[in-house]
Amino acid sequence: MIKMRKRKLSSGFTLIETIFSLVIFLILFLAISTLIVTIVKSSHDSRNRYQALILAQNRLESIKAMPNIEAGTYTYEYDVFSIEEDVAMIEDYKDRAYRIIVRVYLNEKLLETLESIKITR
Amino acid sequence: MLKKKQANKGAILVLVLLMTSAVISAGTVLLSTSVTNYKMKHINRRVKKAQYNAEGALNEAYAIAIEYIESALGYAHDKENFINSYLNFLLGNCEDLSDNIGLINFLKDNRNYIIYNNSNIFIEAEIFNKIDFLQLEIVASCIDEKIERKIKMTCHILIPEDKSSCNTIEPEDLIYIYDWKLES
Repeated sequence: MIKMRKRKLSSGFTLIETIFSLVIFLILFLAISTLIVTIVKSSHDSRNRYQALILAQNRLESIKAMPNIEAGTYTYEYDVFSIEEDVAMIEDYKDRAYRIIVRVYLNEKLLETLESIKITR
Repeated sequence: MLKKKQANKGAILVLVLLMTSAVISAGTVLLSTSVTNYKMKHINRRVKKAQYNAEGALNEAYAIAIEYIESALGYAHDKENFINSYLNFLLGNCEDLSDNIGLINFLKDNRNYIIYNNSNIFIEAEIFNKIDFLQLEIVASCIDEKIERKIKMTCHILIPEDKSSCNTIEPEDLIYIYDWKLES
């Protein structure tokens, strides 16, 4: 008789336990998945910025290494990025110095800007 | 049988908690790795920017030095003692010119820079008289919070032989970069 009552009392415990566990798991899963999405996004963004920096650096060094330089704005595409090069003569230094600005865009969003001066002689 | 069933009670909850803690641990490791990676890339970007700023400032200083040499040639051209006048102008010893501060003081003043006149760029300059030529040492440093990039450039400024060479010689021919190195 006592055994029967004990059995009745504990009946349904597994179901409640499972539901309770599932709720905890779902809450934590949602929190973790949001975290993972954020990590993936920031990692992707960081990679794009790094690539943009390397691109800007390469272009800047190439321009500086050129024997001749011409003032103007040059735009072209590289992979998913668009690069804008702005070369301008600095009037105060006559034709001796040029200001070079390289901007790298991704989907029209400015990711990186690098600037330097080239002395023509 | 009943005892075994009773002993299993709460096992799912424990299992779920264990699984969850494992997932949280993995998430934390992933997050910290990602944050470290992001920070490193960010620092690398700042270092490169500081490097380009210091390098740009040095290039501008070089352009200023060429301009100053041109002015020195122009000043010395009408003088009797051409070489002394040329040297005096560069060293800031011209008594007849009130605004002649010398190349060093001109280079040190941020206001004389058109592009690199930011407050985080510092220019140090020194000049040494080496009988046949002047040795100009310029150190440009760019400081971005804890990041500092310092580049040193050593130039030699030549002294024209006489006044007659002034007509054929360009100021660019009288200066050349002797050494260029990263200090820090």
